[in-house]
Amino acid sequence: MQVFLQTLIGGLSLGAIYALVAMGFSLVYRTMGLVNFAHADVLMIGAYAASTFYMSTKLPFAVAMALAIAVTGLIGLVIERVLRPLENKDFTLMLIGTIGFGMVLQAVAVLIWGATGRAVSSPVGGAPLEFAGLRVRTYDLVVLAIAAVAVVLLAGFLQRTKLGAAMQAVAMDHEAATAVGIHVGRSNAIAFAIGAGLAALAGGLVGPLLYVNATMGGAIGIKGFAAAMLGGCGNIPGAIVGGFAIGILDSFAAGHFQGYSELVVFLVFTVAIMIRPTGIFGEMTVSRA
Amino acid sequence: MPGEDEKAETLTVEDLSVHYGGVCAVRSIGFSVAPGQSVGIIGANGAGKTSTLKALMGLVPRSGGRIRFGGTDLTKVKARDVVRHGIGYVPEGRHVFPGLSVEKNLMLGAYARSWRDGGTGEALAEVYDLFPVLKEMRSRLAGALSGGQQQMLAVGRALMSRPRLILLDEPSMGLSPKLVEDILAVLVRLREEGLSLLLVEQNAKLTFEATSDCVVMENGEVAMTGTSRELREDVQVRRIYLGL
Amino acid sequence: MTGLLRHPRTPRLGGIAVLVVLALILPYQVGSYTIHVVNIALVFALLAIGMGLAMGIAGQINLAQVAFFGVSAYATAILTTHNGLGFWPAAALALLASAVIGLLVGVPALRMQSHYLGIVTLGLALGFINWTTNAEIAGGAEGISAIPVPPMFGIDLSSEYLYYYLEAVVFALALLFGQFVVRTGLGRRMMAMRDDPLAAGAVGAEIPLLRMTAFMLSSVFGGLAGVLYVGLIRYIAPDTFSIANMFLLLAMVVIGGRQSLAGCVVGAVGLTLIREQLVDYPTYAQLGFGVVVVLMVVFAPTGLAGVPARVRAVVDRRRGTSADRAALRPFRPYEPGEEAAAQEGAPPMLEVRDVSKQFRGLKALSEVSLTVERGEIRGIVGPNGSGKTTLFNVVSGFYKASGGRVLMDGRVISGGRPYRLSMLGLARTFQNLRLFGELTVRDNLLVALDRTRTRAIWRYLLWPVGIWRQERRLHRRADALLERFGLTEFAAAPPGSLPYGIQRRIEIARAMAGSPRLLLLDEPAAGLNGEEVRQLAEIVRSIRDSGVTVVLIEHNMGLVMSLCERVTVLSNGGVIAEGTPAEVAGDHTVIEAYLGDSAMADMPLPDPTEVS
Repeated sequence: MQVFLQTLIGGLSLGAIYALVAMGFSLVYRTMGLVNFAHADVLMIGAYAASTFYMSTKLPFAVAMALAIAVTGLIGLVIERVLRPLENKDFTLMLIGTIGFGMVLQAVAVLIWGATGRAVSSPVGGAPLEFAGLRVRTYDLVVLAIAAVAVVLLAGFLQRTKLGAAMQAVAMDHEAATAVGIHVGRSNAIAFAIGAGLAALAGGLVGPLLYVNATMGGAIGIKGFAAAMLGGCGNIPGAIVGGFAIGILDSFAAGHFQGYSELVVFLVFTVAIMIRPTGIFGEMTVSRA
Repeated sequence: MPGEDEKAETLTVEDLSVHYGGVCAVRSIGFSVAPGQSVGIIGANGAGKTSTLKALMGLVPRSGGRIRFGGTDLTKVKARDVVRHGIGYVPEGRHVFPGLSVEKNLMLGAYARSWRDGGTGEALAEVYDLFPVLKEMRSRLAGALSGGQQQMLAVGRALMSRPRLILLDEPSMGLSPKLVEDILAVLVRLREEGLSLLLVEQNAKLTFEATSDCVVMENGEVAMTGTSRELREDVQVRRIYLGL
Repeated sequence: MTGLLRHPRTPRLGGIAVLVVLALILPYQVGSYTIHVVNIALVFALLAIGMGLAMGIAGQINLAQVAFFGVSAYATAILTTHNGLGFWPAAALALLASAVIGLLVGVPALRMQSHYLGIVTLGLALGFINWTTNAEIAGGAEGISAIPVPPMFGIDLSSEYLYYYLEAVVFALALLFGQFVVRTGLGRRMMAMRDDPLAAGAVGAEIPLLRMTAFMLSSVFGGLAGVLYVGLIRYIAPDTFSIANMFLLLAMVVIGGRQSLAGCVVGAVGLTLIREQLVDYPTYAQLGFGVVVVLMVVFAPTGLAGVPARVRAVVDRRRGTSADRAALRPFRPYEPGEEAAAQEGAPPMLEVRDVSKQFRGLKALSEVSLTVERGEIRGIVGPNGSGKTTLFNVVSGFYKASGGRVLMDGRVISGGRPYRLSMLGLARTFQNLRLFGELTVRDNLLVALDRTRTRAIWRYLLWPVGIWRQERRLHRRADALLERFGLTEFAAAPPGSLPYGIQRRIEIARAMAGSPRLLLLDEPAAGLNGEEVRQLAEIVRSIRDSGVTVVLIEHNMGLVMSLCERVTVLSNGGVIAEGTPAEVAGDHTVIEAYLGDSAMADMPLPDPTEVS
C-alpha cells in the first residue's frame, strides 16, 4: 500500500505537466480542428527559454517563466499566421506543416543552446516533506500549485471574459460567430498563442524535473497529446483527468516495467483509445458540423 | 427596438448574383427594404433565398451587383463587420452556440458593442421581456433547448446588437404550426417596434402575415413581386411552389 | 492494357530504358563513398514509397514507418546473430514480422479519424524506440553488430558495388509493384478512400479493410528497406530509427510529392544526397528541410511531383482548357431490361418500416414507413429540414436508425455498412456532389465498376495476371459506360474542373457503374438548367426501364410531377401524404406544409396546359 501510494504521488507532478500540454493542445484542436505537432517543440523552446532567463540571466523563476511564455506565445502567432491559408481547408496538410515547424524549432534550439542539453536546478530547495511515511518533493507541490492556478486562469478566461466566450463561439460555429462580429482569424491566432503559452509553462515547469534538450519535446509532447485524446479532446476537465491518468500510468509503468515503461504506456493508451475513441468526456464535445 | 441614432437607412439590392463553383444560385436579383418596412422573400426549396441572405451578409462571395444600406456600400464591408452597420442576422437552422449558456449566446450577440455600457444590459432585458422563456433558461446550455426555443434564442441573439434591419432565414423551419404562430407574433411585434425586416421563408402564409411586401423567387431569379396582400390571392404563387 | 497505357502519367518506355542503362553503369562512374550514399538513398527510397502508399495514396497518416523499418532490421539482426538463422530465412521472417506489426498498427485506424492516427502511430513508434534502447536482446544503445553478409551464389555482397545491384533490382521490383498497385483496382480504391471515404464506401469500398491494407503495404515496404539496410551496414543501433529520422522521411515524401511514388523516390534520393553534402552541418540541414516542408504545404501541397501538373494547369487556363472544347454527348438509353413491373408475390424493392432517427434528442425522423415497388420511380419531397436526406442516409447505411427496419427486396438491410449495401445492389448520389476529386472521370467510374472484394488482394502477390485481365475488362466496361453517358471526351479530366451539370451526370454514371437494383438520387436536378433537367428526366426514365428501381429526393417540383409515378411527402420527420403527383398536389396537408396555408388549396389550379 505504501509503495502504491508513493508511486501514485510520483505520477502527480508529471501528470499535471501532461495536463497543461493537453490543455494547450486541445484549445487549438477545438478552435481550429488542427492537430498541432509543433506543440511539443514549442514546449521544448519554452523549457530552454525559461531555464536561460532563470539560470543565465539570473531572473527570478516566476519572471523567467513569464518571459518564456511571452516568447513562445509569439512563436504560436507566427505558426498560425503562416498556416492560415490552409485553415478550414486541409487539416492533413496543416498537420504536416506543424511537423515542419517542429523540425525548424528543434534546429533553432540546437543552434542557440547547443546539442548537449542542460540540467536545471530546482527553484525551491529543501528536503522532501513527509506525510504519514510518504515523501513528497517540495518542487512537485510547486508544480501542482502552478498548474492548478493555470487551470483556474484558463477556465476563468474562457468562462468569464468576452474574448473567451468569443473563442468558444468560433469553435462551435464559425459562420454564426462571424455574423455576430467576431474576427475568426484573430480568435484562432489568440487560441494558438495561448496554447503555445501553456506549452511554455509546461516546459518551464518540467525543466527542473527532467533534463532539457532539443529533443525533449518528443515523449512529453506525445504523452500530452495522448492525455488530451484520453480525456476527449476539447475540454478542460478532460485534459486534467487525461493528464493525471497518463502521469500515473507512467509512474506505475516505470515502477513495474523499468526501461520498457514508455512502450507499456503507449500500448495501454492505444488499447484504451481504441475501446473508447471519443475519450472519457468525449460525448460532451460539440460537433463541428 | 429602434437604434438610438436611427437614420433613414434603406437596403437596396441591385443586380446581385451568387455563384458556387459553376452553379448560379442567384441570378441578378434586385429589391429594396425601406426603414420600418418588412419585406419577405418566398419561394420553394432551392430557389436561392438563403444564398441571397448570405450574400447580403458577405458569407458567400458575390459575383456581381450593388448592395447599399443607407450610405454604406455593403459589398465593401467584411462579413464580420456587417453587424456593426446595424444589420442583425438569424441564420437558417438557427445555429446557436450549442455548448454555451443561453445568456452567453445572447451576450455574444452584442459582441460588437461594449458589454459594460448600459445599452447591452438594456438590450438583454428587452430580449428577456420579448422571450420570457429565455430568461427562465438563461443558464441552460443552448444545445439543450428545444427547436422552438433555439429559434427564439437565435432571434434574441440578433436583436442584442440593436440592429436597425434584421435578416431572418427560415425561422419556421422544422417547427410545429403552434410554434410558427409564436414566431409570427414575434415578427409582428418587431415590425410594430419600427425595425426593418427582411424575412426569407418557405412558409408563405407566415410571410404574408408578417410582411407588407414580398418577392417570389424561382430558380435563382425574381419571379414576381408585389404587396403581400396581392400575392396572397395570386394562384401563380402556388404554381411556383408546386412546380405545376 | 490499352487503357493503362493511355494513362497520361505513364512515362515513355524510352525514358525508362535510359534510366535502366544509367542505373546499370552508375557503379562504374562513382567512388566507393558515393556508392555507399547511393545504397543508403535506395533504402530511404523504399521507405518513402511505403510512406507514399499510406499517406499520399490512401490518405492515412502514418508516423510509424521508421518502426516498421526497425522491426524488420532488428528481426533480421536478432535471428541471424542470436538464433543462428541464415540471412535469407531470417529476412523472410523479418518481412513477415513487419507485415504483422503493420496490420496491428493499422487496427486503430479502424476506429479513429486520421488526425488522431498521427498521434497513435507516432506514440507506437516511440514505444518501439523505447524497446530497442532497453531490450537486452536488441543490444541496447550499442545495438547489434557482426551481422553476417547475405550469401548470394558466391557473389561477394560485402562489396558495396555488388550490393548496389542487389538493391537496385529489389528497388526496381518494389517500385514496379507499387506502381502496379497504384494504377490498378486496389490503388484506385485507396485513392478514392483518400478523396472521400463516405462516397468510397457508397460505391462498395470496404473502408476498414482498405485502411489496414494501406498500413500493411506501408509496413512491407518498410520491412524490405530494413532487410536491405541490415545486409548493407551489418550493424544496427536505435539511432537509425529515431523520431528525427521519421520526420526526415516525412520531409522526403512531402517535398517529393506524397501522391506520386516517383515523387517519393525523387524526394528520398534528393534529400539523402543533400544531407550527405551537409553532413558537417546537420542542424542547418534540419532547419532547411523544416522550412522547405512548411513552404511546400502552403505553396505546393502536391510536392515536386505535382509541379508539372500545376504548370500545365496554368498554361491551360491561359489558352482555354481542352475541357472547354470537349463536348458532352447525348445519353444513349439503356436497352429495356427484364420485366420491370412487380411480379406476383415478389417483395417490394424497398420497404421502410417505422424508421426513426434521433440526433441528441432531436427527432429527425419519426416512424417513417414507405414501400417502393420494383420498377417504380418514387419521388420524395418536403420542406427544408423535413428529414428527406436523413431518410436516405439511414437507408444507405450512413446513419444507424434509432428504431425501425429497412428491407431491400425482402431482405433486412438496416444496420449494414454502406459498402455491404452497395454490394447488395444499392447505389446513391449525394446532394452536394461527392466525386473523387483527384481521380479522373474514368477512374471515378472504375472505382465503382470494380466489384471485387478487398480480400481478393492476395492476387496482387500470387496471381498478378488475374488482376491484369480484370483491369482490361474493367477498362472496357468503363469505356462503354462513358460512351453511354456521353462522357467519353471528359474521361481523362479531373471532375472538379468540369461544369456542374457534367459533374452531376458523372455522379449518376458512377452510381450506375455498380449495376444497382435500387438507385437513390439526392436532389439530382439541383443547379441544373432547363435543358439539363430535361436530359436528366430522360436518363432516369431509361435507368428505370432497364429494370432499376429509382427513388429521388427533389426540390424541382416540375421534374417530380412529370417523372414520378408516386410521390411521398415528408414534413417534420413524418410522412404526411403519399399518392400520384396529382393527388399529392391537391392535398390540403401538403399545401399547408409547403405554404403554411390550407386556404390556398381551395383556390382553382392554374390551367394545366401551361405546364412546361
